[in-house]
Amino acid sequence: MAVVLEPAVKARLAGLRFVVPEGRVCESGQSASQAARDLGERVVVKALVPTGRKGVGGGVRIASSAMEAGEHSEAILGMTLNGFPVTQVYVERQLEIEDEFYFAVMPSGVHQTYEVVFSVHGGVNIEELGADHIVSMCVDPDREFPDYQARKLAHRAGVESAQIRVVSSAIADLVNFAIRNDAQLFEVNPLVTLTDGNVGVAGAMLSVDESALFRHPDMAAIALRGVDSLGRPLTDLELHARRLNEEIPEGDMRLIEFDQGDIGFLTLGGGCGLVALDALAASGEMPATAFDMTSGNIEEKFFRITAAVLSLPRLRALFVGGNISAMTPVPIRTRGLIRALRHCDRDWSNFPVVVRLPGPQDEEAARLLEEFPHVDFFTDDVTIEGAVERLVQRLKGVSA
Amino acid sequence: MSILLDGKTRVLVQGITGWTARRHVKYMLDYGTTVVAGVSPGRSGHRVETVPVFDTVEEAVSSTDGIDLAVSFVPAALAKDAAMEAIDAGIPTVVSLAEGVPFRDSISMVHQAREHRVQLIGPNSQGIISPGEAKVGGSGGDLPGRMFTPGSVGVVSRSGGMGAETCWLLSREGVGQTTYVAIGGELISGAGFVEIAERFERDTDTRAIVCFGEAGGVREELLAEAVSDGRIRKPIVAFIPGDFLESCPSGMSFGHAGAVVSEGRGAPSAKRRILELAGVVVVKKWSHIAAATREVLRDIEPELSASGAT
Repeated sequence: MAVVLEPAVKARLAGLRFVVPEGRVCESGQSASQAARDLGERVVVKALVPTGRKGVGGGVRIASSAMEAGEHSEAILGMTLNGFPVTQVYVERQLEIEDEFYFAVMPSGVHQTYEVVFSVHGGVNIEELGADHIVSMCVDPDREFPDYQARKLAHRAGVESAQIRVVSSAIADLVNFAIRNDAQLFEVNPLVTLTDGNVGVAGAMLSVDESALFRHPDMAAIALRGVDSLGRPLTDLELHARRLNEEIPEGDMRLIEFDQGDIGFLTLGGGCGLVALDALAASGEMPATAFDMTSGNIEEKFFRITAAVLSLPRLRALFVGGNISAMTPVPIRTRGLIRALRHCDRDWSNFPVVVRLPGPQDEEAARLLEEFPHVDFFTDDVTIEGAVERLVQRLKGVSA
Repeated sequence: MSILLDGKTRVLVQGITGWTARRHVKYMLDYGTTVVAGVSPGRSGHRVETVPVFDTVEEAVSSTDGIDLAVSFVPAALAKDAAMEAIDAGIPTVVSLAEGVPFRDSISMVHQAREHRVQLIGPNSQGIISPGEAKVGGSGGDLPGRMFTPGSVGVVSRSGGMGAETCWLLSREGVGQTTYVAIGGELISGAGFVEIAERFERDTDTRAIVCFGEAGGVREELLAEAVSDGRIRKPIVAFIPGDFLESCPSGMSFGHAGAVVSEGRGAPSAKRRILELAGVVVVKKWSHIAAATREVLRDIEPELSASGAT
């Protein structure tokens, strides 16, 4: 998923059948005060970070004067919410709210289509609501979500008759917005009815399907990738991996770093990774990385990421693993690995490296690694689990 | 026998003139697959190996005796269009190999396939192989014999690589396969475990089923349901990795977009429990799959197993 921050989401929501409050991005208390003055003094100040539940951390505050807006901004700027340092706030005109609702759209594995989720109990953590308070409906993505379906949904949720027209128009427009923008999760919490009878979007969160960014170049330019599945900022190594992906797009790579782990893990194939990680964790050791890379002719890329992982000071060992069905000739991986080993200055006698890479030309790969006696190279002579067990054994040998 | 694909299945390759497709079409033909046509808009009149290329699926269908299965090598951005074209042309089975297809596109593909009663496999399928008969997609590359041997166990997996590896494990323990279907790891895809298991259930040569599952989604839960209510009676051996993933913060995903444990839902441990309650044999270590499968085969046909036949 790729997070689009609230100001950009709200800008994209303009022109639909609901009110979107005006707002400004500010980086100081002073500019926040000025913004509040421009926006009519009664504003909401929100921390601008790619994480939900900001209110819980004190990252959302209401102000009724420009001075208060400035004070709140200064308090919020410099906070750290879920590991994200707050360097910007969003100062937004306060809406005159009557009722608060909850709205979300996401693809559903159960229904194999988009699902819209709605509740008349908005503004709270949706997980705390019981199933009785939530209604949902499946959406056909190949057709515009019609107003009448939105009315059905609103009625089932318990929206009052007097509000049903405006609320359902907003719901329909929000559903179609979500699908048009390839949302992986689009949440409006709260969606509000206003004292003047209109509907407004008070809080809006959009995570876009990363696989669809190619057809949304404007969002691709501003979306923050990878952050939301981690719930924390990317580490230096993770940022390095992202930049490497941009520099060399072939062989798309995913890397997650675990601070508490110290075994470098470079597995190829999602399922292979899961099996290998489980085998490692079962032994009591912890991985420093989880990794996947699609196939391709990318020795350079594999060299650079392996070197980056090997340079983590806390690392005690390296595991490289893949499936027997791998299509990439194994020497491409091992040549990259060899360059990384040469590049890094380590005492290899105390640093186990275990490689399990069956596949095309694996015999040649074995020959290439002969000059590194401290590297264990396996093909299909062991299972993935067996190779991880070998690594664990060697680690015991080192600490003994 | 097999499901979905055998030596007589007439196969169409979409995106046939791409680099990857050309390579795999050769392997498919070498393996005995009946590839009757290819489609690559703008390349009508060309040939890839012995296979004639057409501009449209419609033309390919009318220029041949008919097409039973379409396998698409087109990239993710074009996957939906290619799948819709094959579905629209009335091809009964459509296999989409592309990784990274947007959710919106997958949803449309799944929807369209259902409307037309077409069996969609994928997207992000590694392919299908019926050992000794035919293969579509990448399964096994140029050395499929290294992993796949004919036999009586149906294999279905959310992970292409681990599914192939599971077949390798089974093969080296003397347990051959009728068909291996990689259904892909995506949240939204054409076939889940149930659809494939139901086909194995109807296949007279398949005596047991092996499933490789993952975290996230409800594929495993739906399979458990199908076993509980008697739609699947053949014995099933399942393995679901992800204990480490389960111990990580909610929402994290390592490889497949669909393998996510979110707010406790989709946890491998829960899936294993549900499957076990339904009567599925769930193994804790991947390498135990072969022994567990041999055991279930022994239970159903002790005389055959004693003679060493599988």
